[in-house]
Amino acid sequence: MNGTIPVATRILLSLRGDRRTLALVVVVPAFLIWLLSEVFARPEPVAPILLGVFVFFLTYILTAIGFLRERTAGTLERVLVAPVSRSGLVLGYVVGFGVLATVQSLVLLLAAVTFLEVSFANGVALFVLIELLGALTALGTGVVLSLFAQNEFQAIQFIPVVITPQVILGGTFLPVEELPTYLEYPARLMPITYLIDAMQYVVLDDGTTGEFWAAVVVLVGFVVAAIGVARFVVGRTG
Amino acid sequence: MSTPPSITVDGLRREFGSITALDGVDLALDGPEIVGIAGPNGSGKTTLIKCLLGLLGPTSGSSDVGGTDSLSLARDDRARIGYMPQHEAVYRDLTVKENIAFFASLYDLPDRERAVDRALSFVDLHERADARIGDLSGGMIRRTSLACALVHDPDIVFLDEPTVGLDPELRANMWDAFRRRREAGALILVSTHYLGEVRNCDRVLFLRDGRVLAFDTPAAFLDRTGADDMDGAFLALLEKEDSV
Repeated sequence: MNGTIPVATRILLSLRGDRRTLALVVVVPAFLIWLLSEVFARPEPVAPILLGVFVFFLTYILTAIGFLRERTAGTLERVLVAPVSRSGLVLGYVVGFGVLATVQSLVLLLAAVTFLEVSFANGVALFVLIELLGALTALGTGVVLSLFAQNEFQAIQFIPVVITPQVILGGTFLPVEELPTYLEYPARLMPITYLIDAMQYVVLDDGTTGEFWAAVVVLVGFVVAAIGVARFVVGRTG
Repeated sequence: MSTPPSITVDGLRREFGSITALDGVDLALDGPEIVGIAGPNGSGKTTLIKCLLGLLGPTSGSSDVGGTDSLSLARDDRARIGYMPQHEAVYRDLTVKENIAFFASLYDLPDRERAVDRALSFVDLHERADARIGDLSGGMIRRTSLACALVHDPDIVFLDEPTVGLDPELRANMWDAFRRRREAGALILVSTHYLGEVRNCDRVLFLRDGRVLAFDTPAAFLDRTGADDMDGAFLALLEKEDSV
């Protein structure tokens, strides 16, 4: 896919001198997990929720701001004028931020084992898989929503509108099945619901294998849809 | 062998809601030349360039670049186009050389390292090649941006206000660079709102409210209006149009 490797390499190269973003990827998740371990006497039951939501939240911020900068700085137009396919460009973002999400997943894994004493009932491989699916959904969401923002402040304003309701309804405080019907249906249309669902199986062995893989299939659908929409809207002639 | 560099614009109109940014622009360019697109802010210069590049679709009319419709530019067509946007349009967290190398990597260049080296020499930034963009002056950033636009040796070049914010010496250096590109066979479109600068162009397209006010050589404009400079010539053309 033309442009994928250069774009991915450029994203990772840009981070080299960007200590704040590196801290957001590596230090902040570990710090927050530690903080929560200090607050909760029995942290393991909340671990799946924290691990699922953190990666979604942080990846959204990284991609939304990153892509917004690309657009407002004029570099996106420049890349679009070059012989680069739209798919190549979006895939470059997926690979670049996918590498970051993998690093972040490993940091969360280590932090969860160290501070939350999580045992990962169904193995760490599935944990990394779910973290990546959550990150890629957030990536597509970030790219698409950044197109509706004129500046970084506006990109952040989407968080209480788009992400927070997902966290509230997605199983953080109450299982989705126990929500009133008029909230249960919207909750079932949100990726974080399936992220938390799958993570509860991975960490606590909560739910059946069939339910887990059903959640994975839905998450893969969200990834394909989010990246597909991003591919469609990026570089569409105005 | 690719066709000679050319640009054709036919009745191009572009509206943004109730605002008409371009209102029936016609233009035909063929062969190496420096063409200035001049006019006050909001006259349609950037919109014209973006329509030519296919970044904006026209409301009506059409344009083609190198013989291909702007909305259907294929890989080969894009490989011969260079574009320097009005914005900074470089990555602040990368060095000068990394920025140029990134844009070079988007093209199939036989010897990418040599191309980057040549672009650095062209804008005279070898000594600051490893400096991060965030640490450079505005003039150096513009030169980096120019190098990014030219690294793949394009023969159809769009430069949107390339000299804005530069001191007179740097501006003169940039115009020298544009002339060297033209001598190498490039067709260069340069937008500017510094009317004094358009004397450096072979021909000048004056835009006003999205319409072509006039298109001619700088000498012909001065001759036609009796003005001493291009500012005066533009004002005389405006007065003449207003009096009709």
